[in-house]
Amino acid sequence: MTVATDSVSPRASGLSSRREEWRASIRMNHLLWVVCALGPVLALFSIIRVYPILETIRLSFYRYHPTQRTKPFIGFDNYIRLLEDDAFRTALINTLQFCVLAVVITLTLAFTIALLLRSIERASPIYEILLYIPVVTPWVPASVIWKWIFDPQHGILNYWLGFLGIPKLAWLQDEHIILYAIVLVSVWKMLGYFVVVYGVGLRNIPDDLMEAAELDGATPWQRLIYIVIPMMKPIILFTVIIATIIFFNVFAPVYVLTASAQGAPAYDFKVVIGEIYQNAFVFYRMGYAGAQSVVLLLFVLTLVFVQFFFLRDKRGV
Amino acid sequence: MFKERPIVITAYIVCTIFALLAVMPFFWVLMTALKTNPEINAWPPQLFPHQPTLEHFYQILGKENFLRYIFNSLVIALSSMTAILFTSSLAGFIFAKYKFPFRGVLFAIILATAIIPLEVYVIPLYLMVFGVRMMNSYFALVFPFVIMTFGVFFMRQVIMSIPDELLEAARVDGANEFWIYVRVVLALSKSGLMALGVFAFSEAWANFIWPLVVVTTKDMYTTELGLATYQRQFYIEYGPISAGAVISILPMLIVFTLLRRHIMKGIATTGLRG
Amino acid sequence: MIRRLLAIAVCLLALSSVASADEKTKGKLSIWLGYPETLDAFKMGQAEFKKQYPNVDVEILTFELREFEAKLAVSVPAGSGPDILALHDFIFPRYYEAGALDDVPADLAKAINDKAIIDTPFKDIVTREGKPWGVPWWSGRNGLFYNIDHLREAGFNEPPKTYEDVWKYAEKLTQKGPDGQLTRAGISLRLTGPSGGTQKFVYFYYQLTGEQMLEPGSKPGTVRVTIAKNIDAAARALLDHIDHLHGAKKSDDWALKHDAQGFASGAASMFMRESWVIPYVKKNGPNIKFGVVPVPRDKAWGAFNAVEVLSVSKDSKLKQAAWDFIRILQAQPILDNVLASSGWVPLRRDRDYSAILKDEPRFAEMTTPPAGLTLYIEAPNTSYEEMTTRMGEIIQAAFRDASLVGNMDGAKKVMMRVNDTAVKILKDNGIYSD
Repeated sequence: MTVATDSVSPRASGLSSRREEWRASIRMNHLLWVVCALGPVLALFSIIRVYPILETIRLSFYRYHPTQRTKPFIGFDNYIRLLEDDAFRTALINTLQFCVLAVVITLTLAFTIALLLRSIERASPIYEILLYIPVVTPWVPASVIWKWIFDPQHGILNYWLGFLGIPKLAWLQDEHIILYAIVLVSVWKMLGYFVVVYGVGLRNIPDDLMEAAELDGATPWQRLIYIVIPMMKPIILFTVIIATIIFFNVFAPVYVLTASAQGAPAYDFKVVIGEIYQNAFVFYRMGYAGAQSVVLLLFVLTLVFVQFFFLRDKRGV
Repeated sequence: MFKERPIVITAYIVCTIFALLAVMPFFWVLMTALKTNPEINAWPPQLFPHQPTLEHFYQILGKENFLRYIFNSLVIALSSMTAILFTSSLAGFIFAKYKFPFRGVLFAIILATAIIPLEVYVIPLYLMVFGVRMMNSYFALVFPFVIMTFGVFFMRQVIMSIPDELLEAARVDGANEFWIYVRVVLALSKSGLMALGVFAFSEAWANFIWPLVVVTTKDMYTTELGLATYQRQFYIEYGPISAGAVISILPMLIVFTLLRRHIMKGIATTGLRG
Repeated sequence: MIRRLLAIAVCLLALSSVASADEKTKGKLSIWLGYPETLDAFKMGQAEFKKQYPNVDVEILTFELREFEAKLAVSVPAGSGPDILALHDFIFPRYYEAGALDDVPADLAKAINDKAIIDTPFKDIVTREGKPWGVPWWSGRNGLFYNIDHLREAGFNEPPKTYEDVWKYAEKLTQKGPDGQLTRAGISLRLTGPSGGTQKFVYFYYQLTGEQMLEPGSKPGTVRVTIAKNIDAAARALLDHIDHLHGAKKSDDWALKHDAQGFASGAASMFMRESWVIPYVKKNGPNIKFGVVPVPRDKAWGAFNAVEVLSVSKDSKLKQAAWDFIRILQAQPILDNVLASSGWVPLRRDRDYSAILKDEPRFAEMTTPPAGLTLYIEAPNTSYEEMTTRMGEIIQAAFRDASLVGNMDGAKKVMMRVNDTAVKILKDNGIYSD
């Protein structure tokens, strides 16, 4: 609570003591207000965020089936099982590969496009809007659209690739190619968002700084490396973290793209969240899935902190 | 920024290519939704339908109960958006304009939970809903989405820019805090609220794993769920699915077209996704 | 504006909670189906039911099979499951053991126990401690579907009869395009979808061994794993698949359309599946001239059998109405519909299906098994989904491994891993039997 008293001139003592009482009572009211207003919201946070996170960790030490009577404590058994779980290991590797590819490709492309857009600033709003349309599309319809595009026999992507002399690819059926198919969809979807974010940051770089550098004879490349990128560092850090979190938790596009109807198979590309979902809600091994969730949490936290450490502005973010 | 000729030309070419790539798939799904089945499966594929038909839309809306799914999604998205706007603006206001013990710690904890995605703790949430026997209900579907960490952070940023003098003046005039919240703070952060509202709405609309987990009967499906599970039968029919995809995308497209200025401004404020 | 939105949201939430509360007090009979093909029959039943119970709404929801099993597993114990449970044979025991089933009324029980009405093996599936706990409704047997034109073009005048024949035919029937990619599969194998994949693999495994990979164990609810005992045959079955997925003998490819969809579009010449394929192909591939024969045999001859059982939930508030609905479903016209439009074979023997069989003689193949053909049912157990999924994942991953072509030792190793995975999961759940 801020109190503007500095510019007030001294008053008669009786008036000022009344003022003091008045302010004190407001402060009390304020405290009451703060508690009444923030209290419920904090309570909601505890119930919907804090408790579940802690409970996940607790569950990971139990054998937990929701409809069975006994839910025994089994210590680290779930975690030991994880070490031997081939499916989970595959999922982790897949997810990491996917995350790295998606983050690098999306951010590099987005930065490049954002940069280029600054040279044609007048037209940039239109480009940004068009690029943003995939961003506002929910993942499921977006994946459904691409599933048809990827169809090996009838899909339009293979049709166009045919013109380049490339034979029909089994985008979602081949175990090696499907990774790239999912990366393609993810990049397509999230590109626009990062273009806009970078755009905001780039626009904030003062023009006179760039002009001064130009006058000093700096080439565009030098201007990029020595001015633009350093000034964009906090935003780059922000986008890397956001992108990592989004892509490491990929689920909806994988679910849709790999859903095999029996007539039209797709390769079962495993990702971490897919495994958690299957173990928790199809096999009902909730304790085990809890352990997998804890591993997921640890990975996400580690990735975030590592990026923070390496990319932070040492002068202070 | 870089005004050199070759860069400008490259910019036009590259950006146009990517903009087209961004938009092409939507055009394609719309065409597919309007084609008859033989046309869909024709090879080489034709760009435009020669005999456009609305049969797939009839099928997915009529036979598949898609209208119900849309209704469900609307209820959930609107409820969630309202709740998030309310809780975020209130909490953001408190954090922005009041000093109290543990303020920093509390805010840090709230922010920390933002890094942790819902998928990590979806199991206990499910068990909570299961425990109170409210599975497969609107309550269950909205329950985890009545608050949003980013929302609190965002509204705090927005409200911090409201001059303290305004609040003080209101207080001097005898207003209580709640009145200040409603009449002053909310009124002055309309633009931020709109951006946050759109974001909250679209997050709730696009939600997938949570409805997948708590919904057990088709009449409670959301559009996302309905679309994703539509194909998991013995065979895939791309006509109706494309129609369903078109229908699923329309609301978000409309919202985006109408409110894009607010969305873009919202991103500019904190880089928040809109 | 916020206030207005708030008011709307509150109203909506209130409305929805009222709506859902309302549904429990009104008369609503809910039925969940894992096999959407029988929906028409249920709708016929619904029309008939309406005459007897005009005030009761009937809600029929259909799900994809694995989802159906998963949702059921959670809803029934929570008391939010359907009134009528349409359970297949291998999950029926789970609900019986959980005490979720209502007693079968006397008249229906008598019909079930009557050999002239329901065959003994089907009665046995639903019987515990001398009384039946559900009404066996239909069964689906698998057969080999083949495209008559394709076979004739390749010089075959009759369909394959033995296990060896199947592979020989498949090699001849396969067609490739100019770029060497397959355009037509000689036989459409089950290559994805691990849980079903395990089941379809057993179609081959059984003929070589005389048993399934998972058989019922010595105590009810337990399961025995037979792979280790039959490791040579198991490896051979695996190898035959792999050999026909890579290299010169390649007869199927992941990029093609599979199963009924593939067969109906002419992308496959043969495949093995249950009787629902008949109406499906007639509808979706009207130009396809196809026939169906029993699964080809080897040293053993066995066909996969699925049985659907109708039970009423113990938690149902409309038990009387539910059993009446089930009685309605025993009527001739409805059973005719089940056979004709979904292809599943109704189990009541006191009904006359000759009209339909005359119309579609291919159904005869599915209704009366030839002498010597054993019908096997999957072993009921509580870890069905997890076990079949994990086993199927290993098998289907092996299918993709070209290095295993002709590699008997490698195939044995893979099948031992399948064996060990199944054993581990069974032991973990306490239902392992030697």
